[in-house]
Parts: sequence; C-alpha cells; structure tokens
Amino acid sequence: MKRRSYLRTAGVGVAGLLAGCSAEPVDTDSPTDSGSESTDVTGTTTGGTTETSTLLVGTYSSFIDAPSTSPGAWVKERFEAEHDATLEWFAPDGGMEYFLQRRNQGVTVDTDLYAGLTPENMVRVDDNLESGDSLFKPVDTGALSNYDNVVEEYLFDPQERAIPMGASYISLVYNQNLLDKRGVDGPKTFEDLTNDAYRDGLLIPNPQNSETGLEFLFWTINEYGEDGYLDYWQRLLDNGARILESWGAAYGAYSEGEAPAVVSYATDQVFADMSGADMAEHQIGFLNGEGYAYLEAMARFSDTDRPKLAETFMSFMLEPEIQAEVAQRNVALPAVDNAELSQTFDELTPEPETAVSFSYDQISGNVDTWLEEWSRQVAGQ
Amino acid sequence: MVRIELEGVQKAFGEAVALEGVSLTVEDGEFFTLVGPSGCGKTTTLRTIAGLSDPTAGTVRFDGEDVSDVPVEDRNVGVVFQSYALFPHMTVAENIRYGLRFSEPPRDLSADERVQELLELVDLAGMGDRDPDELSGGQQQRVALARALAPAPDVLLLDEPMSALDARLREQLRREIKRIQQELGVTTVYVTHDQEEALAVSDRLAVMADGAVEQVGTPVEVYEGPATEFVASFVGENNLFSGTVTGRDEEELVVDVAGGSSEDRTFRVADDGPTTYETGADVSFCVRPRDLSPEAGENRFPVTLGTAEYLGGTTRIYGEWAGREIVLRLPEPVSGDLTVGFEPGDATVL
Amino acid sequence: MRGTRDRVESAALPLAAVVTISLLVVMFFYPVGRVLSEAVWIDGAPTAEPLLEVLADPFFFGVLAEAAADPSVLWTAFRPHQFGPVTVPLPDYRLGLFGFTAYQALLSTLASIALGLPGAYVLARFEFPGRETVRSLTAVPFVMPSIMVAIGFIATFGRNGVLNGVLTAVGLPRVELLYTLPIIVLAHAFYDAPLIARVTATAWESVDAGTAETARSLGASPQRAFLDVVVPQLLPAILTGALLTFIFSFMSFAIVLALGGLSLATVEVWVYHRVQQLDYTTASALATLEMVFSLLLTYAYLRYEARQRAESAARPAPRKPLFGRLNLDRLAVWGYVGVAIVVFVTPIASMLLASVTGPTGFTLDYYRFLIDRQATAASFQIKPLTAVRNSLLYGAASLAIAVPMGVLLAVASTREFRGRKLVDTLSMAPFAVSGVVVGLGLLQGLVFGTQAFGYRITVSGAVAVVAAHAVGAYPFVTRNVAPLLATIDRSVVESARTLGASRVRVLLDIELPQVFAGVVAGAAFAFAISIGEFDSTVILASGSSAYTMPVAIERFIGRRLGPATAMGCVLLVVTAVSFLVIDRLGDGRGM
Repeated sequence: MKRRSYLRTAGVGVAGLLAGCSAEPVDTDSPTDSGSESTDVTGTTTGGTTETSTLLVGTYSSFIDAPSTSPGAWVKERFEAEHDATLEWFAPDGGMEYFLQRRNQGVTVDTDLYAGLTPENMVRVDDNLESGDSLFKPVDTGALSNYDNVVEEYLFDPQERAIPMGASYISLVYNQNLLDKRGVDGPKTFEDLTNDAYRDGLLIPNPQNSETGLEFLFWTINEYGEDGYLDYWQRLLDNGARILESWGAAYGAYSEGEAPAVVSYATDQVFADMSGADMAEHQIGFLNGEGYAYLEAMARFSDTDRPKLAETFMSFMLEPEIQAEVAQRNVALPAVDNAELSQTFDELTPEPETAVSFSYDQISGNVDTWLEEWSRQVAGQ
Repeated sequence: MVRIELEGVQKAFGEAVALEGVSLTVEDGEFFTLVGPSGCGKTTTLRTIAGLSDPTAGTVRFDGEDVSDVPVEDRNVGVVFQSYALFPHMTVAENIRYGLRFSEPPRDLSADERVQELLELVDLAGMGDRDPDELSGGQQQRVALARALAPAPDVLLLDEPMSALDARLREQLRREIKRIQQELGVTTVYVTHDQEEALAVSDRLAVMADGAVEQVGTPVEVYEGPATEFVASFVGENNLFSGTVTGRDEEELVVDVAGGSSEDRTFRVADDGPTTYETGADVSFCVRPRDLSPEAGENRFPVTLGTAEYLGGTTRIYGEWAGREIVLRLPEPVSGDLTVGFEPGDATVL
Repeated sequence: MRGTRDRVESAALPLAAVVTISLLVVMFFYPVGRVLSEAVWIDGAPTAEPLLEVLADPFFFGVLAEAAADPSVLWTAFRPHQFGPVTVPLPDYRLGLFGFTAYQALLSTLASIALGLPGAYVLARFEFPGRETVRSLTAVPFVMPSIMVAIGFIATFGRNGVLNGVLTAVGLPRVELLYTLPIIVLAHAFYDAPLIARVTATAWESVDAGTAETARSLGASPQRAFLDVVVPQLLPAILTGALLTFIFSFMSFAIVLALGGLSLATVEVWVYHRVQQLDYTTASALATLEMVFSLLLTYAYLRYEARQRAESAARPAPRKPLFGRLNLDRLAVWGYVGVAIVVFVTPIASMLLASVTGPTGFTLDYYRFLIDRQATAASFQIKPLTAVRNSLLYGAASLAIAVPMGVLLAVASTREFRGRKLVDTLSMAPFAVSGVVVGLGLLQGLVFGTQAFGYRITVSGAVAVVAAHAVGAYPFVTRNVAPLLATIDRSVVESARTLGASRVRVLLDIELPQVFAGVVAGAAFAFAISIGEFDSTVILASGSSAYTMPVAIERFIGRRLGPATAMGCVLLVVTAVSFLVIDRLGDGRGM
C-alpha cells in the first residue's frame, strides 16, 4: 500500500467523520420548546391553515411501507390534495422509543404528530419521561370533526391527548388443515391451549417487543388475574407454546407450518383473500368469545411548531370516508362508527362477542412489573 | 571510506553482559576481522558499529565523529547478514536497487547502470530478473553483497556470511570478497568464528572472548605471537605448556614443566615474551605443531600416539605427553609412539 | 528533497497512530464507556451495587448466586438421575442465564469443531476441481446476517422443511428441530465451523511433510505419526478457532432469538430487552460482566495466537486426489461432504428456493416486488437498490477506515514494549463487547450528541453507521495481519534499515508487501462484515435514508417470507461475489 494512498484514505476517513459532525449551540433550558407560537389551544386562531407548510407525521413502518398493503401513500395524497400543506411520513425504527429516548436526552425532533399510538405506548411514555409534563399535547376534541362518532370503548386517554384512529382485535389465527390431522377443531378457550390436543401448537410474539404479544399478555392477565396468569403461562409453555421474537417471526413461522396456531389479528382473512390463500388455513379463533381490542390513536407532540396543522390532520383522519379507506388499506377497523366498509371487507373481519381491553389506569405503572415477572419466568426455563 | 574507532563499548542485556569495554580501531580501507567462539560478542560489536544495537556505554566514531546518536539508516553502512535477508517480494535487481532510493548512485550513474555494475562485480550479470528463491546459497550471498555495496557505503559489515555454505564455496567466495574489497577500498569489518578464514582474508584481526578483545594484530602477529593462552589455542593449532621458571640462561628461560618425567621436564625457551619472569614464577608458553620435529630440536620429549588424520600431503597427529594433548604436523604418517623436539626459539612465551 | 520527504515520513507513523487512537476513542471507547459507566457510576458516585445485584441474582448466575447466599444449596441440590438400570445422584444445579449462555456456547464450539475439522482435512489434503473457490466461500456463512440464516434454517429444518421432506419421502419420521437447543447449536456451527475449517486448513498446509516422514522412518505407523507429529502443530490453530467460536456463540443474540425463542434466551438477549425497557443500569451491569468474561477469553486467545508461528519454508505433503478409487478415507470424506451439504448448503439453497416459491408454486413475484418497489417507492419507503448501493458504499467506506487502522494496530502489536498484550487485548475489545451496547453507545454518544463547551456535537446517521461498521471490522484486519507480520525475518527488516530506509519506509516497502495476503484477507472480511451488519445499523439508521440490505430484509418481513428472502438472496450474491473477488487477490492466505 503506497504511503500516499494510505494517508489519503485515512484522511478521507477522518474528513468523512468530520463532515458528518455538526455542532449546534445548546439551549440552556431543555427540552427545546421552540414552539414559540404556542397559541392557546382554546384560543381563537384563524380557522384554516395559512402558508404551505409541512406536517411531519411519525408512525410505525408497516403503516407506510409494508410488502403487502399500506395506507400511508394514499393518506398523503389525499391530505395534500385537500389541504394546502405537505405531509411527510417518518417511521423510525423502534416506534415510540425513538421519540421518548430523544426527549429524555434533550434532542430536538421535528415531528409534529404520531399516528399509531397504543395505550401501552402512552403509559410507557408517561411513566418514563424524565422531565416535563408530557410528550404529547391535549387536543380540543370539540374542534375535531366527526369526533362524536368515535367508538366510546376506543377512547383510552383521560387527558385527551390520544385521539383514536383505528382498531383491530387480537385473536388466534389457526390452520384447520393442520388441526384436522390432529383430529380437533380450533381452540375455543384459554384452557384448550394447555391441553394435549394442542401440544406444540402455538406461536406467540414476544410481549417484550411486540404490541401483539403484549396485548395477548394483558388478555391473559384479564382472564386469570395478576396472581394466576404466571401459572397459566407456565402451563402454556409446558404444553409446548413458543415465544418468538416478533409478530413477523411468529407469523412467518406459522405460514411455514411450524405450528397450527398463532397469536395474531382477527383481520387475517383479508390478507388471505388478497393473496388467494386457502381460508381453512386462516381461521379466526376468539378465545372464550373474546378478542382483545388493539387500539391505535394519534397524538400531537408537545413541542410541535404546527399544532393547528396537526389538529387539522387529526380532523381529516376522523372523517368517515378517510376512516373507511384507511381501515381497508391498513386491514384494520375504523375508529368511528359511521365509516362505510365494503361488504367483502366486512365479511372478512369478524368481531368478537366481547371486546376486552385494559384502561389507561389499569395499565399505568404495571406494565414493567408484569413484563419483568413474566420474562423471568419464561427465560428461566 | 572511514576510520572506525570504538572506545570502551559496553553492552548488557539486563543481567547478561555481552560486551565489556571493547576498544579498537579500524583503519580507513582496512579489512578487519572479529573472530572468536560463539557468544564472544563479535556480532554484538558489529551491530553496534552498524547502529542496530545501542551500547550501554562507550562511543563509536566514524572519522573522529561520534555516531552513537545517528540512527542506522543515516550511518551509510552496508550490512550482509548471515541469512542474507534478501527481500522475498523483490527480484534480484530490485533488491540491489533498494538502497538507491535513499541516496544517489556514485559517479553520476543512473540507478539501473549502478545495478548492472554491481551484478557484474559479483559475477551475476544477467540474473537481475530472478527471484531470490530461485538462487543457490552462494548466489544469494552475492546478491546480498551487491545490495549492500550499491549505495557506496563508507563501511561494509559482514556477519558470518559464509556459515551456510560448503567448504569449497566458502574458500572461493572469501577470495572474491577480498578481491572486491581491495578493488573498492571500502573499510570492512568481517565477523567469523572460523580462525582459518580470519587469518586468510584479514589485514588485521581482533580475537574476542567473553565480550572482551584478547588481541589485535595482523594475522602473522597473532599467529606467531599470541598474547594470551586463549589466543594461542584458538588461532591455529597450538601446544600449550605451563610450568615454573627455575633459572635463566642468557636469553633463555629454564622452565620446569609439571607432569613430565624427570628426564624430559626441563625446557629451555627463548625469553622474548612481554613479561619479565623471575625465578620461581609461573609461566606458560606454546609451540606450534609444525615446530615439533621427530628429528631435530633441543627440547625433546616422548609422545604417545593417539589418532592420526591424513590431510593430503601432511598428517595431523594427536598424541599425549605428561597428561597434555600434543598436536603434531608431519609429512608422513607414523605408526607408533615417537619422540619430538623443538628449538627454544620456536616457543612463544605468553 | 530528502529533507521534506523525511520530515513527512517521520511524522507519518505518529500521525497515523494519533488518528487511529482518536478514531477508536470517538467511535468505540467513548460510546461504550458511556453506556457501561451506567453500571458503576450512579448519581455522580462510583458504586458496585448494580454489578453485585446481578452477580447475586440466581436468575443470572444460578447456583453460584444461590450458594453465595446459602452455601448449603451446593449439596442439597443432589437429585437421583436415571441412567439405564443405574440411578446416580447428580447435582441439579440451576445454570442461570450466564450458565446457560456459557453452556450453549460450549456445545456450539464442540459442534463447530466436529463439523469443521473434517472440512479442514478435505481442504488441506485433497485435490479437486474448484478447491480454491470452495476455500474462498468458507468465509460466506460467517458473515451472513442472522435473519437470513434464520430464514434458511426454518426452510431447511422446519416442520415442512427440506430435511423433513426428505425424511418422510424415505419413510423416516419427522424431526422437530426448531426452537430447541440443538438448532441453536447447529446455527452457531453453521457460522463457525467453516471458520475453523479455514484456519485449520491454512495451518495444515504449513506443516512440513518432513516431520511426519521422520516419525515414520523412526517406526511410527501413519496414525501414530499423525497424532504425535501433525496434530500438535495443528493444535494452536484449532484452539484459536475454538476460542473465537466460543466468544461469538457466547455473545450471540439475533440467531438465538430467531431460532430458539425466548425460553432459550442468552445474556445478550437480556441486555437487548433491558435496553428496550430503558433499564440502562441493569443492561450495563450485564454487558460489563459479559465483557469482562469475553476479554479474559480474548486475552487467552491472543496468547495462543502468539504461538502460532507458521513455518514459511515448510514443505507440505502433496495432496491426494478426491476423485478416485473408493477407500475408507474417501468414503469418510464423501460422508462428511453429505453432512456439510445438509448443514451449510441446504439452508442457503432453501432460501434461494423460498425466494421463488409462492403459495401456488414457482413465481418471480417477490423479485418483481423488489423491482416495483425500487421504481415506485415513496420517499418514506425502503428501496432495494438504494439499500444495495448504501451497503456497498458503507462497505467501501468502512474498509477505508478499518484496513489502515487494523494494519497499524497489527504493527503495534508486533513491536516489543511493555504492556503489549494489554494493548492488543484492548484493541480487540469490539470482539468482546455486546453489539447492543455498541449500538446504544453510538446512538447516545454520537447521534444524540455530546454536550461540550456549550455545544451539542452530533454525528449523523450515515457516518455513525460507517463508524460502527469500521469498529466491528478492524479487529479482523489486525488478526489477519499480525501473525504474518510476526513471522517476517528480522534481518530483512534490518537490511532495509542499513540501506537507508526509515522505519516508515521499512513498513511500507518491506513489511506490508510481505503480509499483503493477510491485508487482503482482512479487507475481505471487513467488507463482508460491513455488508452483513445489522444490530448497530438498525439503531443508527433509524428513520433516515441510511438503510442497508439487512435493514431492508427486516423491513420486508411480512405475512409471507417471500419478499424478505428475495432481498436476502440479493445480499447473498453480493457477499459471495465480494468475497471471491477480494479473496482471490490475496491467494486465500491469512485467516
């Protein structure tokens, strides 16, 4: 290696590093509350937006970039057509974590709003925020169109920061073809899953990093109580249930026939229909006639520069037509009761007799404990 | 072409002392040899001159200038190592050329011309494009020599360059090295453990033992007049005797050599040693095998035959007298015990 | 003329050293130290509490923690175990997370040796067409992202996988391998057995045939000659491979989760989850203990490596042709080849197959998806070609940093000075530190920024990604170059110096050209590691356009594995080609 090229490459390396560096003066007060135009939410601000501005919306990656279907692109198109603003999506890896970590570190983030917040996300953020009141800002629900039609059970934030955006149900998805070989039907109750008939029969996403898995955990706590759920899980595991790292891993393995049942969403048949799969392999199982309500909401960040625009977006998202389209593209259920879904879609999305869901207060302060207890038991096998 | 002066050079590796105060001078253009058994410090001395080893004490001067702080790459020395140390990833020509990256070839030659000149000097013309691993040991050694000489160094240092070669090649190559050295006139320091070789090629030599210089002199001086017992026994074959001075007779000492029988223990030796010996003092002297003759010689003593080696033209005979090993060189083989003698003048008092 | 050049040259090495050290501090020691300090520094005061808490927790340290609290556990834990007709009381000690991690690492090492040594035998002692290519490709499994290996393994060893398909076809019962300890061990062996094969084969080729021949002439049978003379010469290489494998398996994370599920969690899995729960204290305590353990092992590795002096003048025994009359030797070899195909080739082939198999049979849909996505993706969506381009760019960039750094550290490790082994061990620290911690450290320290002098200094996503890759890669360069540097004849170096070369010139003109093969081999590794890196990249590229191929694969995992496997195949081809190209330049010597 010639000396010059050696020095040059080393120099390039350093220059490259320096090029990526930036130094900005630090505000002595953290976190940066650069939203200087903090007009009171209830104040009389001019209706409608002013100049063309950009709304930066954070969300989870499959909302905008799933291999199968995502509503993100369509929402952007529609919003930009109806309103004089640009919509930019932003799906950081780790979802809410990204924003929480940065707020705790005092790093400014430009995102105005997050779409896809679950009750656990909200609890986690509230529990772990190191300083300040909240990551999110409450909304004047009166100013949101169609708010009155939001399904009441879906409201979970007593502080009215999170506005419901969509929902789905956690349920079992099972493969009747495989079960036929065992000579049984789909599992009907929680206890069924611990019986011999369903030995080595269940795949569960890890509650530690999957919303799906976490809500399934809540579901079991709802069923067996805080004192009994660990015992239930022990029996589940003894019966060969597997905890896989993510919903993707669990569902992917299910698709390869690794087990006849997986914890997933009650909207599964929509996808099955889309890809022309055998419906028998996509049966929905509501345990004990229940399904756990998987709620998604949107909320404005407290340090947003464009609170009015964010509010406009939330209003937009609640419109029945938008709700229907987003639900179908996202393969979920609308958050409002006056959204018209296509008949096929309606048929393919069964709902359980009873919807189970933990309230904000029930979750608050408990998630970490439950996860800690639970994971110690599972990993300590 | 410089004059090298070592003054009080000491080198210790932790507890182990490699050199104990070595002082010597190598004259400009001289072929100087450091000779001695393994571990005597000759290689360390050479490396000190080269700058590859820093002395713990003492100075090294080139033409009167202290070079102790000058790093090896700036001392303008050429070194040929025992292993030749050719650069395996370069051809012969590139090896020879390497030193010319750091200094100008002499006499306004281009680098290529200089390389050619040296290839011819070491008799390897036309081999420039070969790889080192294609060459024989002798050829590699000549490449190493050419490489060391290419930048026209002031000093040429050779560290046992012959040890990996067979006897015939060794003799041939040492003649060539001597020839080249005389042609170029470069100050040369040569290290070897072979005293015969040292005697053959050197202008002057230093006999070393245990980190110190035993004697410095021309080959004749050292051979004919060894200064110490070590030099006497190391350089050439020699017979050592020790005894007590019993008297003096003009220019001769009368010595009673221990171990001999009453008839043959009294010897007369020429008193030309460096020290004056009084009666009763202990003295050592040596006699070269060629000076021991069955026919003549005033000091006679019997030798019991041991082994005989026929050397082609002469015979080397190992025998025994008074508990000592006696070495003889005779024109013809003998079959039994014999009596030999030497003249007092042939003995060297140490 | 000589004056200025000399000045530049004499400044070059110290300058390069300064640059290297500052890069290391900025890219590794500072970020990692920041995170790990959370285990020993709370509220401005040093404390041993987090560490002690972890050490005393039976969940982590099993019976050792229990015994610390109550030594009687050691003997009351004996239970009768049945072995056939005999019942023997054996201790039923709780392993704890650390114990289990070490246990699976040990099993993985044994499995890797069992699978790797025969491979070394075939590579070193047999001649067959394509031998050099196979030898180059032995490095491919090592750098495959765990997602891909997981997909390949599911496709091969799953209930409906290739293996079971073959077994049922010949009437044998199915095997349930997924989500068990054996499959994790097998996955580790998939990664590391080729490595052991490669390292051992290189050592085998340096064994002088004369030594075995001498033993034979003295009366030893061929087997005795092999055991007494050849094996001792191979032992250092085997041991270094084993130690490397152990450390990698100990620190293993993604593959354990993907193929084992949470019940088979290792320490690293726990670190990841603690970080996710923002419990940095426990995470750091765990990572610190992991690191101490791994550094001790790394130190042991370095001492064994120092004994691995290859005799460059050795005359290796001639190779036997592989295709020929079937004797016991060849039969065993073919048997091994069969096993190797199942373990190494099938997962890769299954993945290739899965990428073109849909619910209704052969389909190019998944590749079409990649092309479509590339053409029509919105700015917030991941584009395959961009991912490929980014991967290649980052690979080249991290190569440009890692190779000079690695070479410099290799040079430093061969110079004699006090504390050399310590410096060597520290420079190998990236081996020993949790990948999660490195990623977190880079995130907190560089991406979030560090406050100093009233400014917040941040380093943006792409640069941080390259930094993370370079940090992960440079130890491989060092470990490829250092052993070769150490075998250079000192008198060659001294000759150059007597001819007038300064220390820098000697390094550049004489030493580096002789170890060029090692530099190239290390560079190949560095490039491939960058391409396959996932853990740190996904943290640092979050939300930005700095994504790479492994990140894209993860993004494309959906209801079906199809699109992800298609992307995985793209990555596989890119990795294999880069290895072939770069490795050929170095004649496959070195590691």
